[in-house]
Amino acid sequence: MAPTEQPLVELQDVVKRYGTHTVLNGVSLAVGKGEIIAIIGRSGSGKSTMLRCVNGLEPIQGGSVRFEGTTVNDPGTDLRKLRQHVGIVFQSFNLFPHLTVEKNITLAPKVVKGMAPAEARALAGRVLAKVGLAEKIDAWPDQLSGGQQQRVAIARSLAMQPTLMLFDEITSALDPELVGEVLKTLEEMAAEGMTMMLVTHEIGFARKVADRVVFMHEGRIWEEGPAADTLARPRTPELETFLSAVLH
Amino acid sequence: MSYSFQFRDVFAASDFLLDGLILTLELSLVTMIAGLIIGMGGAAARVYGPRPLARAVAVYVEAIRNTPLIVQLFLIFFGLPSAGVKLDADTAAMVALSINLGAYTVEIVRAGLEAIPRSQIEAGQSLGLSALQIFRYVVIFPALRLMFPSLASQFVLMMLATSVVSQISAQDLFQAASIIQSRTFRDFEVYAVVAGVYLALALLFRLLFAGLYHVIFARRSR
Repeated sequence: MAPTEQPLVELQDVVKRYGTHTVLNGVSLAVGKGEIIAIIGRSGSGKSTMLRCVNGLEPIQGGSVRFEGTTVNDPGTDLRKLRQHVGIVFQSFNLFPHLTVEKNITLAPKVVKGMAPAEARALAGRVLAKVGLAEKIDAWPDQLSGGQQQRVAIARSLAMQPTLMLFDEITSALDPELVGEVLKTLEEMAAEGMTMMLVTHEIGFARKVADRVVFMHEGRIWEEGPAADTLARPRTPELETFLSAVLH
Repeated sequence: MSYSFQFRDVFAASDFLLDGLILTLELSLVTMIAGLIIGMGGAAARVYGPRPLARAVAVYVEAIRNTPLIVQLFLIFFGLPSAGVKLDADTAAMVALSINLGAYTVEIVRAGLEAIPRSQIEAGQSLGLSALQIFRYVVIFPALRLMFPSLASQFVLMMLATSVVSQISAQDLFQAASIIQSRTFRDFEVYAVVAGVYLALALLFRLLFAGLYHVIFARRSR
């Protein structure tokens, strides 16, 4: 899907440093509504950092990040409000271990949006059904497999009805046989038209589901383009090397 | 070296001991509650607060943890009246003990808070929760679970340490013992009985804390 009128997310010359170490060195990227962007690259190339800049988890030292016209890195921006529209799912799930699946999902709708408990439970049931775990509503996180925990984490984000979903290597911590169920959930979300930015090592999945692929290298966007084309015919030796290493 | 034990005089004064025991219990409970409140607030300020506040808490914690409790008690009971603040012995005892336990509790709670992975806080932030909501719904429960054993231990130590308040003539269990001793001269018997009472109290508190831990945390997941 091509970006329409104003992009949903717009990064302009984003610079991120930790002390003297530059992680992002002038990153610019526009993401349109409904687009699915796969971000690939070696570890340390800045892909996760870029993702975390979008919802303001990482403060930046230069450039700007805009979401729906709001400047994320503006000190006056209400990040709490912004984050209600931008869901993020992490590599290590980050479920709250002391809360049941239901409470994990309903916490934010209840305390942030003031939703009534009965309504919130119904919502939890709906988002769990979406990720195929309706029967786990009363389970505790540590009673679930990694794949199930990750799907609950996705459901927890969906419960806030975000406009944009960020996925930070969400299958990297999973046993290989559990990766499929999580990717399937992502595919279903993609089919429903959710705008998604995903950092991933699953090249096959990126080719199949993403509209565009962004290859990060040394803190820059080294190469980007339509997914199938970019992955089939890399224009830079760096991407070529990377692809041959991960597809090996 | 033969000594014939004679407990009759000691037990004859059991009412006296009971009054002392009640004050010791009161002091312990008030101090634990106040200490917990001070500890949680102080630790939150130390970990999440603005730098000047975090510094102030650090100074408080170090000042208290590096001076004797009895000196703190005397400062409050004998020193403060010079500044126009006059407290009766029981109140001064509660204040001094609470301030003391609060400082130790800050450090225990701080360790608990810092043991919560940053990723849990980020998950809360990403869902749009405020800092206070993250503290209340995400951090405090797992942190309490982690710190509970150290906290319980510190609280029992504090219960035992309440015996210093006899030095400002608060009528606690130990002060009752001293008075009975001065009347009966049955030193060994009196202090043996009082040691037994403290021991029983300490065991009781440990049992209570273990039960509390079980009730609060047992069914909840790790």
